[in-house]
Amino acid sequence: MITRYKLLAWLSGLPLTLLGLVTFLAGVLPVVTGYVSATSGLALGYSLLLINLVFAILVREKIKNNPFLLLFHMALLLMLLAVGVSRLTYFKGWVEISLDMPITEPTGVISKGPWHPNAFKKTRVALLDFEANYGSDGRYQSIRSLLQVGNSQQPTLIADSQTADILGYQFTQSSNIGFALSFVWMATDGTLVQGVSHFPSQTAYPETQGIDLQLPGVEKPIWIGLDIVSKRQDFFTPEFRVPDDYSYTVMSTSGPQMVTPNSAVSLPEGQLMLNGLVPWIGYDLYYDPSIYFLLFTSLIGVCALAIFLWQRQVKTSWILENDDE
Amino acid sequence: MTMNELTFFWFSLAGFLVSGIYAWGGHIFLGRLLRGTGLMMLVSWLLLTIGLIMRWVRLDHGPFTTMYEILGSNIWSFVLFFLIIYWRMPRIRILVLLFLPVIYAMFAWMLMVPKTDVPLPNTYHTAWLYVHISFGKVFMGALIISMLVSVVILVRQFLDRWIPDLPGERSLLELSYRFLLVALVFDSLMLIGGAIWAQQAWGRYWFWDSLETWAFISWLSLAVAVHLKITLKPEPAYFALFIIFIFIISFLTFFGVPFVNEIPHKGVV
Repeated sequence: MITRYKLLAWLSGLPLTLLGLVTFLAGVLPVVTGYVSATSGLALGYSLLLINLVFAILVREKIKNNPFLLLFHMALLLMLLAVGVSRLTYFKGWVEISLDMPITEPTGVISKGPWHPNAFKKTRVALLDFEANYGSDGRYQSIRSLLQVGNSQQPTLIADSQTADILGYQFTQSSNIGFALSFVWMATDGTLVQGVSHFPSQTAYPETQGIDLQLPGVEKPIWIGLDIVSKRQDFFTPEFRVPDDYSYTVMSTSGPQMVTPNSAVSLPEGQLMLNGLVPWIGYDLYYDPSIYFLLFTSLIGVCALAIFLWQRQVKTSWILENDDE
Repeated sequence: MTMNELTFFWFSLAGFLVSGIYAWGGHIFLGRLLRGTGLMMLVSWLLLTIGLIMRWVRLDHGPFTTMYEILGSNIWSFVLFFLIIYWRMPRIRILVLLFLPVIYAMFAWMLMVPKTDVPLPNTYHTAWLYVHISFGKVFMGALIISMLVSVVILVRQFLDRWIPDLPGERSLLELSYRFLLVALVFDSLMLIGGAIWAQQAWGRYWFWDSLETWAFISWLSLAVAVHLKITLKPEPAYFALFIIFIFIISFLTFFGVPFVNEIPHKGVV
């Protein structure tokens, strides 16, 4: 009986809180160095604090008897649970959308929780229009774009300081912008495929503009390079647009070929029509359903703590009696 | 940078220097803090305020972007916080002797860094910037008082009854702890405000960039200190040492990390 009492006292006590905080701190330090991911670095401290909080709320009379202290601890508990839900369901990735070519899933994933519900699937997101401005010195100035989600008549605006919530995913304008090759593939068996393939970002990889295009029915991918003759300033300033003068280099089994836009390349398996370029712009994606709940509970928690501390501190003077003045 | 702004900053520094000499002179030669010290600091602070307003009007944005501006605005808020404490808590006015050297150091740093004009990034056009920064300034203001009291506790380990106007160690420890609690609350609010801003501007409330990570380490250190005081009841000198350590961490987070990166949150601006 005494052992159980001691165990409960320990699990609900402040020494365990202190231990949890120190463990949390020790977990953050390796995260700074980049050797450990935030999730694994903080897991132990997080677990200790969660256990400690649950027992403190259940056992400690002092907490149960003070409404603000109880509210603070309840908010902390909800926050910790929300953080847990967040880590299990979050998604972090990116998407590139070219003009008039809707997408139905993220372009890439940076990381995601094991229980992430893929809410993006089967919904079309199209880029209706955009404007990206750069100064004469090549420095980025501003960017804004209009997206259409599904068949919605109301376009969604995204700009530098304006993100958008689309299907629960936070769309944030990224600095990546580039060109996409619009093509038509006519296979010898009559198959017709129309599509776009994105060249790398013009802002991140201006010197390596090449793609591997995998066509249906063709064994190996075909490498297509983009050769822009126009000066970079001409298509970046004042507004990013398709350059006036460019061509493609196509590397296939029959060797390298220089191809002008709106020309066809003959391959043994069919004919590849290389149309003009279309611009694409990139967005960072973030999905976390717990965010607003987390922010709300954290504010409630801090306010409750502030009231509790204030109530306690105003009762006594900081100048203690019998202090050795 | 026009001469007028800089002139006001120099006048302000001169005012703080005179305040310091006046305060230290009274303490050394008369054994007390002379009347008028607070008024001299207030005038110096007003000069700094005029300089900052002139810059704000000229650039059409607040002092939020460069190290020069951040140091200037934080000197402003530190002094404002201290003046309020100076007014409301006469018993600890003598802390001005330790407070002003901190301000001199920050002024010297401010006047040495490049004074270039940088436009306000698009992501800074939000009310949450003001919320985040205001909470941060109260947090650092409270922490600096806690740190100054801790310095007195520490020095008294070697110089008995140093600054006798202040009460005994246990009282000072209690005072330092109370300011630490204020710092913890406002640090938490600063982080929450910053998270909302980050969510709105960059689509993620937390990114683990260097500034955010160090801000979290500062917050955790504060939380550890508060729990340490309650549970282990450390000796005043050890606790004072820990508070000074927290101040150093927080100060470096505020000024060191952005200084290395030139502007705060550089990676995501």
